[in-house]
Amino acid sequence: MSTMLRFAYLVARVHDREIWEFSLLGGISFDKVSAQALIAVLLFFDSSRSALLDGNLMQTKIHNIGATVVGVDKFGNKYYEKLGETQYGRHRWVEYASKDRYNASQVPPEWHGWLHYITDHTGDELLLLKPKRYGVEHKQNFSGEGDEYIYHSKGHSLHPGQRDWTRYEPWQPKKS
Amino acid sequence: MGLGHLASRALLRSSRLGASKPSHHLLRRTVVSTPELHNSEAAAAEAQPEPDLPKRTPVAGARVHFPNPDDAIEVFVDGYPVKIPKGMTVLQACEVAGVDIPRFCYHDRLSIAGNCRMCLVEVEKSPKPVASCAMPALPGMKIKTDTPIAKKAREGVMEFLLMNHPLDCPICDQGGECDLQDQSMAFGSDRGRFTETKRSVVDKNLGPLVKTVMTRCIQCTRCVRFATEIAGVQDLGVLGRGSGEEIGTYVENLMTSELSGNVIDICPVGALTSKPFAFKARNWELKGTESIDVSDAVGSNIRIDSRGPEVMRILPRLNEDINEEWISDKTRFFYDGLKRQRLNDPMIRGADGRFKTVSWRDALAVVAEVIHQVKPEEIVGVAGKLSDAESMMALKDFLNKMGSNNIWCEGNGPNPNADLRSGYIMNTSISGLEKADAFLLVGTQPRVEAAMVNARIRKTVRATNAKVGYVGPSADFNYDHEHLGTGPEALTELAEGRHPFYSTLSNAKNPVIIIGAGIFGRDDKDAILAVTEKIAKNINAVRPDWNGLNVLLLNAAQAASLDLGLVPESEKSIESAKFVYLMGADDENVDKLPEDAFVVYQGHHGDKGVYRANVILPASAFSEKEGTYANTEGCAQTTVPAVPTVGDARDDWKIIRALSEVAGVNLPYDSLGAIRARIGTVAPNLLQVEEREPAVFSSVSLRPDVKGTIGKAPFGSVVENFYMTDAISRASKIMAQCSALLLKK
Repeated sequence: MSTMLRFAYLVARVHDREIWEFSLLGGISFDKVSAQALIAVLLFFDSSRSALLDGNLMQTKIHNIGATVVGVDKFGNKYYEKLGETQYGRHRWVEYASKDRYNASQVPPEWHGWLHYITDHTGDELLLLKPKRYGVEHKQNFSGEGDEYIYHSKGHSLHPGQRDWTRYEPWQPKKS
Repeated sequence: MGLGHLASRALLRSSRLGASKPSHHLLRRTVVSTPELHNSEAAAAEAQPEPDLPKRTPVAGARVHFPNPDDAIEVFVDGYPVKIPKGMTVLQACEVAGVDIPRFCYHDRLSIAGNCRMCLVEVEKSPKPVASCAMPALPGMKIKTDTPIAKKAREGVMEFLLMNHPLDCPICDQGGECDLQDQSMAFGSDRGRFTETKRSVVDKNLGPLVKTVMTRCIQCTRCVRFATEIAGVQDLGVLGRGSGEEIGTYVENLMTSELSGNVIDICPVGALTSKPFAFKARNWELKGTESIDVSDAVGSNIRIDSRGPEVMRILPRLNEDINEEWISDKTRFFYDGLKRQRLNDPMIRGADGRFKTVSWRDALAVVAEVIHQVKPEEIVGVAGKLSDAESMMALKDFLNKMGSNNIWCEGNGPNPNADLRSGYIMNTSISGLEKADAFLLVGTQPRVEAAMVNARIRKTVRATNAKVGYVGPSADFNYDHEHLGTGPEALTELAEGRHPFYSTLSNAKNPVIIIGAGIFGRDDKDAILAVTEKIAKNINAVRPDWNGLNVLLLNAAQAASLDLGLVPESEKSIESAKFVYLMGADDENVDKLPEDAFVVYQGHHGDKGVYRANVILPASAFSEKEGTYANTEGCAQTTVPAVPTVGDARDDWKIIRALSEVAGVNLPYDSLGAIRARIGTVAPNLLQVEEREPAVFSSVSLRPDVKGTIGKAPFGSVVENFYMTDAISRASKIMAQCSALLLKK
């Protein structure tokens, strides 16, 4: 079995339940499945394709094997936990809903505590504590997402207050 | 610290090791360990010296000085034989051999603590790795710095250090110049095994200059050792043990040292950073310009870090002869004054008493017209304390061409002694003070007048137990001293040998007398100098091999102005002046001027001088021009422009050159080279840049007898506020905060 096939097989194993079953089938009679067919199946699934290109996502997917999904938040981020053979302190993680532009600020506050081992209560439990009247909806950090979210240093032509600073304060003669 | 080389070597080695390791299972990720290293035979086998490696050069040009050739011993660093003097540590031996040892707590100007354990190396026949900074090198020692055992030991140390270190490099001001960051690239693991919570430490308030983030502290105790050993204040200390260990002031107080800013430089991590610079810039955005400080007469070597047109910070530059690697707080933090109160346009005071912005052409025409209307003896020129030699030369030449010779530099007094160079410079030289074994300070408080000279005296007092006698008003010293009196009568007693301190001075091998420039303003200046010279003669302070009679100047411009002969013709010239040219002079007493005198102020800051001015000519500050300054020991150094100048300002000498043309008395130089050639004809020592030219004659034997008696008035303190002495520091907000918070009332 070539290394490419091994790789494809592994990726195919880890994704969704359909692929999982498919790959079991393929695993049993692997020699009979041609490599081209397997890759074609892989490319069919969008998330698999990004996992092939994105090592972090790939690693998360590999981690997910045998882990339990503790919950899914309102953005669709999945929270996994695996006790037992994983190192303590590395046993909770998140698979972001967005497969291409994900970042840590997409985790809402109710899940943040669970994810960072601050509490053992899951986000769903903590969500009950959210104040109804003044609790603000979580927004991710949009830094770098569009011009209004990019910081431009003072004096930059896109800095909003471009002209309201001077690099020195001139001496002002007073009335004498 | 130059660990890039080290890092790359370590990375290279780790990749070589990694190749031989059995590949881990794909799904399990553990901390990288090197189990094969527990086998000492394997490690020893790998550490065989390879004979045909290229010759190594010492780290950072480290030089070895053998005080006694018989004391040389030979050690082997990674198989290379190195000759070093006895008493060197293993770490120093490695540096001579060209191996940079990683370190946090070791600093070659501080005492050895040996508590960070980062400098572990393997020594043959030693059962454990040894801390190289604290281990003296012994003859025939076989030191191995790049063995797997040494690497493993350092990796362990690094893991422990990073355990309680916050992961806030992205918001840390030390980022990019952090020793911990650099060395973790070589010895850090890519993951932690630490699952408990990190410790939290309350930040300390050390005043307006030093920002603390104490969770980042790795307890190297460099700052504690700096404060007690170099700065001479007992403010910082270590509290607690183990994981409760903290650096702090024992009780809540501020760090009141004039050298406190240096703890920012010596802190290997981001625990102590600059408060004014916090979150202003990243160090890789800055352009460094190697220049000279003008805030006092020491001429500390500095690096001006600028971003675009702004000076962002000032750092010290190594110069063993002047400031070693420290600078005073005023030097380090007065840069924000360069951005405030700047004069940016030529201005003329109208008939209504208001200033009006005019063009250079008009301003110079007005000045030229007025200067031709007054009598030559009524023309007076005063150079300010920040003036460079070029502009003082131009000013003197210009006024001389106008027929006046009433020109001086402020701070030199009405009748300066410019005849013999030895009469106004520090003849011993700043580094030469280290050889002294007795000091007599006459009317000078070096701690506020020249902080780096004071640090040198303190170093000498600490190293050799030199005795210090002090004549002057009660002052703050950070070393043991004997207060001999407040007025000149103590000097008379010393000259006649009646004073008890006289025996200390006369028994000293290399006695040093330092006269403060504050006495230049006194009427009995010559008599005091004469009696001091008599003391010097009696205690044999001036010999062919040792000149211990010094003057400690106050301002950056003073030495060069006396070299160039800026001496007023008559002492009372300011009272009868009709035309006064103030070239950055703010501390000259303009109240004595006649009402109808015409005052031209040429300078970079709207300070005291402008309020009496009729015409303002904007000039560039020291960070914006190329100028020669001579420091108190007579060493000429040049500033280098770091940032563009502001508004319509011009270099000082160029303004005077242009004015001379408008006035019809062309000065014969158009370029910096030409004006320096002119300086060379007057004071060739000012062209010997960065090379101290000692004075040729000593004034002791050549001075004619002085008539006049010593006054009864006690010596005064010259610098009332260390943080505000010149136009730039008076404009600085940081210096204003310092004087509000740190000055002892």
